[in-house]
Amino acid sequence: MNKAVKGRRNKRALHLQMFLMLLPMLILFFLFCAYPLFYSIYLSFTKYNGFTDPVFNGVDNYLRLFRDESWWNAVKNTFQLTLMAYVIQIPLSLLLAVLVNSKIKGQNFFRTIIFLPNVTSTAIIGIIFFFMFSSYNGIVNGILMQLGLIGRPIEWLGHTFSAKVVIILLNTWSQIGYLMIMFLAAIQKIPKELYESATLDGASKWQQFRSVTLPLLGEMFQVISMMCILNGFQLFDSVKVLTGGGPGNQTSVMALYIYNYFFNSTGAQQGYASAVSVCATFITAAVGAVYFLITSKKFGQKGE
Amino acid sequence: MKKNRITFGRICIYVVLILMTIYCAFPLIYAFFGSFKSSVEFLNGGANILPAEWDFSSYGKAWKEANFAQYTINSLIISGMTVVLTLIVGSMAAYVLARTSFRAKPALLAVLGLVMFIPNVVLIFPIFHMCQTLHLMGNIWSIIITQTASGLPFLVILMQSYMVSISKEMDEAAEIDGCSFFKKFYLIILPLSKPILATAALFAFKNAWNSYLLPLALSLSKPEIRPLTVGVIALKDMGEGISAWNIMIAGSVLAIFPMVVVYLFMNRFFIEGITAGSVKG
Repeated sequence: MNKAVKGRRNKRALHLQMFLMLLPMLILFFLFCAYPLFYSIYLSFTKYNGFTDPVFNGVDNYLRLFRDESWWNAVKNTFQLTLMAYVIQIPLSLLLAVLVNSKIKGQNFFRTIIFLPNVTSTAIIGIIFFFMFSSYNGIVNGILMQLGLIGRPIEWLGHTFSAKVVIILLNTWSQIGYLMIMFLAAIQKIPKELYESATLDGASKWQQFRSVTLPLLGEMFQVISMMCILNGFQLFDSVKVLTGGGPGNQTSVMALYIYNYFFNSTGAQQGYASAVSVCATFITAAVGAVYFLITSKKFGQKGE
Repeated sequence: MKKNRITFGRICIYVVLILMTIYCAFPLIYAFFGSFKSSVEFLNGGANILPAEWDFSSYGKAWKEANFAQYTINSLIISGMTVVLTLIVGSMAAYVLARTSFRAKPALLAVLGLVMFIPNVVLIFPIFHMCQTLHLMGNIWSIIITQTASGLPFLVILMQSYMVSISKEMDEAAEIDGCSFFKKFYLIILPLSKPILATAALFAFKNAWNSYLLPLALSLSKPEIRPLTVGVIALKDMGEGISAWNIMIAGSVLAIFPMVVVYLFMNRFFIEGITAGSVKG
């Protein structure tokens, strides 16, 4: 009987310790993640400017949102930039992973330098790209002019199309090494014997890549692409610093649009911004889910 | 048989890799040497990477006139304290999640995994609001705490998956010796988790040092608590225009190169950290 009491007491002590050790994380999580999410949802049904109390106004914000052309333009830009990032970065990083994994000299050097951008701040690199691509003092125009490729400076950030090109160049710059390392880790997990037997069967390098590497990357390929897409939807730092959404809001993206409504110094509209946030979260989740379903089906069929 | 043959394919591999290396290194090299150009030379542009004459005055100006001494200290405090908080809070939570099972655990893990996908900008205003409610606004701790909170879900999962793989024999022996649940944590699990703690610390430091959106919003009302990232970019938005360019480039180098140097010496840890994180997906 004594033993039973002791056991119960021990159990209670264990539960108390478990709870106390989890508590700090739970508090932080609640205060800075769960609560903010629900508070956003609440604010999205109110009229609120940050000074007077929020006033409930039903779905007005959402109705306004549907007619807000500059918001949908930001959504369009987000899709465009994410799609471009995907189309460029996924094949390129996979290619780099395969090349770095092949038997060449200086493997380590290439891997180290290509991953280097990952440790830098995208916002600060935004400043550096801003300098590089500025029209009269930028080194890109400087080099192009010295080579005689262009007669007069290009206004890279002054036109929608070229500004988007610069944004994609910066985005690719900061992502490519990270994606490469992820692919590299996945490739190195593929058993070597498979390649050996493929070589014995007389398969060329390309055939090996198509029928061994690609199918076996399967799930990792999906995870990495998903990351690439979700990163695209969070795009903020680079656009904010490079163009600030300009020229004339033509390069604005979802996150920047939301930020400007929350923190605009002249007349912030937090209620409306919250509704836009909720919409952005839904769009991101929906795209993630659709991509997941499509690729799961494809990989599932391949597996059979 | 075919040793080191210089084939067309091999040349292609090198060409691609060298081009990518140039692409990845160029902006950093450009910024580094650009920061030693005189203001006039930097503004004249042109195609030269190296400065015609080495001029160190941009750094002096940035350090003294533009308050970068303060920003650097802020960045160090924010990143350092974020690491400390992350390790304390995160390792305890990871331990509980690795070594016990309770009814809410699967749900808790799933939620931790899902919140990583919520766009940061969605949470930023309520976080701002929360800091006002807690009277943290304008205090550097508001940045430290929120930075810790935003990194925790990923790092807890990272540490948890490592701790799960530590053999249970040691803690069973300790239990027989009468060690409490918490004692097992700091006597056995913590020392055995050193590699993953180092990785988590590195990640937390890097993310805090490079973070922009969060400290930007939380230092809007008080420029004195800005970290380097926010300080440099504020010069761009302040409308001083071209006259502040050389200060901005010096500030950029200050903000980037400490991480670059650390990385070049310890790149194995960075890359292995990514790989460890990717195992879980």
